[in-house]
Amino acid sequence: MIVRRLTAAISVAFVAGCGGEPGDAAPRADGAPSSLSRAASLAAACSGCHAATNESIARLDDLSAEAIAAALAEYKADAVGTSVMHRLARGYADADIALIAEYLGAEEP
Amino acid sequence: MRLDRRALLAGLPAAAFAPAAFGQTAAKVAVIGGGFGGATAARTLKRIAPELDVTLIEANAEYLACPFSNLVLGGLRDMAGQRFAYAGPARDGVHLVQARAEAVDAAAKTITLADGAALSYDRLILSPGVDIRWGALAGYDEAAAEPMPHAWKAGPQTALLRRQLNAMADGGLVVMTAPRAPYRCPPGPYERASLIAHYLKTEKPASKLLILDAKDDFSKKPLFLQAWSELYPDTLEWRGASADGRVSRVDPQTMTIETDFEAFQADVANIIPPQKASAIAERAGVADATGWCPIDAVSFESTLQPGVHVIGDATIAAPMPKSAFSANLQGKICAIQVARLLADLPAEPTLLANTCYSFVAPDAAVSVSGVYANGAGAFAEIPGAGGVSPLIPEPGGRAEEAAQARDWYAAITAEAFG
Repeated sequence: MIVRRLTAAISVAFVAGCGGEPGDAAPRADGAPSSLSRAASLAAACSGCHAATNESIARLDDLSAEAIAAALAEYKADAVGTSVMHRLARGYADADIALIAEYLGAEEP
Repeated sequence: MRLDRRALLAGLPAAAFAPAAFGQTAAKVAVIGGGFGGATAARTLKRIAPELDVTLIEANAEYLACPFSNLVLGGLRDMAGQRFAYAGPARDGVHLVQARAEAVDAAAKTITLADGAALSYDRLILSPGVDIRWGALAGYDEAAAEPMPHAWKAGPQTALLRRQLNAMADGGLVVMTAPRAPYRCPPGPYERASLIAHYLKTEKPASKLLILDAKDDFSKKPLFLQAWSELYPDTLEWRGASADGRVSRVDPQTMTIETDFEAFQADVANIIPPQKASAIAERAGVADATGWCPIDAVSFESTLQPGVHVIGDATIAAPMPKSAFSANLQGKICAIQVARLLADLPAEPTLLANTCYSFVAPDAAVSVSGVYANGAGAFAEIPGAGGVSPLIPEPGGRAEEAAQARDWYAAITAEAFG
């Protein structure tokens, strides 16, 4: 039940952002625009599944950065969860989760 | 000069970093191969760096997807659902060139097409897919693929194997052979076996499916063995290498498949043969003696030919599997790194992931996932992450993963082609 709700809470800004520039436009410390940042490359893993047309896998395009961060943190913290998202979330450091959430959450619907 | 440019870039939005902004011609990126890797890479480049001049070179007007083609073989899905044109890349401003790339000159940075035309590039992304290693299995040459289809590239081979399964009389023997790793789609043979077994059990219940395997272990093995013993105990038999499962020779004239100690007469034979990176990889000089392409794990640039990046099934990227998910994500990551390099920024390490769903029955699927770091000279699986579906699923768990698999297919094909 919890898994269902969380799954429904995670989704896709990267795909939804096809028409524009994902994330904020501010360049990073190395001079790279955000579309070329590590946040962008980390978040690239999400859009292959999380599309706006989904029924079983949640869409991300209407979620805030806070909601995405909270869902990923909850997946990661759940030591006995067996869903795909539980298994994937365990591979990401908290700082990486923050980067992904900030990047995807910056994409307004 | 470089410092000035970097400082200038820092104050500009993404759209301004391409060379065009400096009064030069836009940098040219060519992508060869319009599968999950190449189509995604081309579209991603236009999205993150609109000024780039991006050309996708693909021999066919439509792509025929391998994922979900095992459902076609099982009689559960129409081939039409596997076809994708290139409307999405075209809409995004990718130049489409429908032609076979015959050669790549990495030193001159040119591609020669089948009609002799030449294209130049600043960076090339090669997403060539796999070719069959004809003759690597004794008796299995191109002519043998008619009586004994591989169906390991979706299209006519898929339709052929489906027709043969349809035409087989009840009580027949289907023999499938699986190769040693590495090959495209590690769990693919076992999903296919599951769905063929489902078809036989449902439509031709006196028939058998025998899988002869060149290895003892395979992706999601405990989950497949569990599903087979529950669902297809009288239909499907799997023999691993140590149970004389390794095929030494096939004879397409007599439909015989030989192991070290036995010979089987098949009514339908599905030979999944050894594979290698597609021929263009060899001609471009990016494949090594193994037949696969060594790459820098961060930039996906070939370690053999500078300026040529290789993604997807053709690469040596283990432990990342040769999957559509991997190719699609590698396409996105490679696009970002190519755009960085063209903007005089260094390629940057990141994390990659993979998930592969496999159907074990029409409405039941299992999955395997992994997360991979690429910053230490190779791809490395993150310990403690990833893994497979539980052997004892939550109620409805297999059906839930089947529904996720359908969503995944819709999402990834839309991202690459739609």
